[in-house]
Amino acid sequence: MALQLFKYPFTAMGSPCEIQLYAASVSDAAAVAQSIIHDIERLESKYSRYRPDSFLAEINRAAAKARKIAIDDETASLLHYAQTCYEQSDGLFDISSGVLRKLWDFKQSDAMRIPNPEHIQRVLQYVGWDKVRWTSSSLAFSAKNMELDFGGIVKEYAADRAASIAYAMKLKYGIVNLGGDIRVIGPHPDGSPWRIGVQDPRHKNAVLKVVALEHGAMASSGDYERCIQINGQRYSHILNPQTGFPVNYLAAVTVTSDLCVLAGSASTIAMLKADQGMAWLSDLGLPHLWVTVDGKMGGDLVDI
Amino acid sequence: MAVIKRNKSALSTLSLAALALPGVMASAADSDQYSVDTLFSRYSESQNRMKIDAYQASAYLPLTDTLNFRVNGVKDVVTGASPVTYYPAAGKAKMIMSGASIADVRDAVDISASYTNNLGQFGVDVGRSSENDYNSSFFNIDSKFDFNQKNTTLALGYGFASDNVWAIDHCPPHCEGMVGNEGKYRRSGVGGDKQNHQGLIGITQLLDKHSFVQANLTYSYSGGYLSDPYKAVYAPWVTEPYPNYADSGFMHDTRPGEKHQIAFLTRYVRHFSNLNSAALHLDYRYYADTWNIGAHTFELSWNQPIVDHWSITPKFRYYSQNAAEFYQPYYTSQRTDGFYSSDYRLARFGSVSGGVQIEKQFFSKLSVGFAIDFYKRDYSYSINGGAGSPVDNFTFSILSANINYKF
Repeated sequence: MALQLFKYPFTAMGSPCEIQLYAASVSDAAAVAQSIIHDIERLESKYSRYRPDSFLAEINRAAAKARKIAIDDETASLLHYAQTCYEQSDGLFDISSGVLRKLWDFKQSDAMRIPNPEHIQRVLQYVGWDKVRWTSSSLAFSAKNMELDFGGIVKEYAADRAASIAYAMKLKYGIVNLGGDIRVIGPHPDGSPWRIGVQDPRHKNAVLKVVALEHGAMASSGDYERCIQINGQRYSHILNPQTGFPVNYLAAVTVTSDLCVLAGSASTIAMLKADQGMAWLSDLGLPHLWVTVDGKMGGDLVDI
Repeated sequence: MAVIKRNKSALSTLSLAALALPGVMASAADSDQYSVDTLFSRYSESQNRMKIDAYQASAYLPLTDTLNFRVNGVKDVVTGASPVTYYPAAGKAKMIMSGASIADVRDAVDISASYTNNLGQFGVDVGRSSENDYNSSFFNIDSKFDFNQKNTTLALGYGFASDNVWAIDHCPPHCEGMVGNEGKYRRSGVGGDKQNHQGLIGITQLLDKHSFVQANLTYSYSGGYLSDPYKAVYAPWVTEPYPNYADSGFMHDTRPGEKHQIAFLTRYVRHFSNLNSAALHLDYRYYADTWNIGAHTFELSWNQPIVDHWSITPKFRYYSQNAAEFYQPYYTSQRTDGFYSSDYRLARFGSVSGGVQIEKQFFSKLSVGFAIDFYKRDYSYSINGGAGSPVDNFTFSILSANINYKF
């Protein structure tokens, strides 16, 4: 039977998601889609910040009291990845920085004011990967009131796992889109690439650039909707764990890579690097595109 | 962890850490892999009748995205006894078994190729099977075409088999007239060639994202020597001695030289995404041939994936057929058409069978399965008519184990 395209839209991790699969039959496609969605739901229920019954919530209850907690292999490898990002970003990519969101309410940009410096300094005491001790089986915190957030990693990780699940089930043409974090399983059956639009951060419904991908992944960081303006200065929603301030140089970064988790963390690190982000991306060597808060655009994906 | 390192290559450091995440390192190259399958199964009938140990191995060789090959080999070792014929004793059929004389090995090999393009899928399969009393050469061609925006699939197939069958006797004990000929010899007066042509037309219709229905119509024509050279019938008017029994009153199984058969299969498959991708299969098959056998088969199976790549599939099957027009457990008078058979497979009977298969997948590479099936045949289970006898009631079980490995 020739292959046909099946689409499975769903919502997970707070984002609209879609799986598109080429399969010989509805039963083949449904089995693969179900396995992928099942795995995504597993990761969401394990690492959600919002669910009190998640393992992350359990970690954060331990973090609040500076207690030690036992962890499984998957969590340990995510911590290892987070640590690598922390090291490679000179401490800017920090999964303990989520607590800073308490200072900045991005949903109320009209009434946004800069928090007072003492308040920022107080909250910064609870931030810092260097206050976290972990091994392959346990995690401990040397300060109270800390919080971890795998938000910048798990969705991308889920997209990569989705592709592996498809391969294991002998499906090789398709694409997974988890709220804009994209992992290509394989090209269209005729070998042609998927054409993926990069959203213009300044115009919600405009496409900045169409990227053709036969394999690999694309992830973006920053978006126009969550940019805020304070005293005429534009800020993105990404928070610098060293200053406690949102970054205010790049509005959006898109990176392509073999792995979605790599594209995702590279784009986030570039955002955090602010005015050095463009140079960092060039050094890194992955295809990328950046847009600054004042509308300048660059990166090697622009010229393709 | 306060030490901040700066690696020469941020990309390789990040890539290594990303690849260390569980389930991330896999590539599309894994998707169409070379794989090997091995299967062992043991079929054993009740009352120490027939036992068959089957060993099967096959290799799947994807050559390109569109072309793949499969090589398949089977060895069956058959031992035990089977009914030869029946005679009346106090008004009931009494069975004569072959004695524990069956010891046969069947070797079969077939090679198939399949090609897929935008029009559809085309396949060809060529093979040969040989035993000490049966040879068969066969080929099949099949094709599948999608239309109606790929919601409908049409399947067309044709198969041909050319067989040669005979009977082997062993001396001793059957040495009548076989002076100086020890060991195996070919029985005279029975056996011959037969040909089988089979055509298939099938249609599969998607109903929605979770279910489809399928209908297949198969027509077969068989011509040539269609009798069983080992089977005899009780025919009291026969005066010459039956070979091997040195006794009169028996004759060889004698069936018509041709047979037309049709079979119609309807199938419904539904997946239940809210039940961990469980799948329901419902089959009904109707069969009829020009020997006047009609049969109904109902089959139901439920595939349930459980946790950790385990899955369990319980199955149930009911079968009922009526007797061939010329079948009798034994004969008391001559038939005008000259056809006689007491083969229990042509009798009126019904059967129920059930089983369960358990499968476990390891690391997406290796899968191991075990299955057990029980079958009970009973004269009284038939909802169809015709002659039959409780003497042929029996049960069998099949135990099987299979291993699949993808490279």
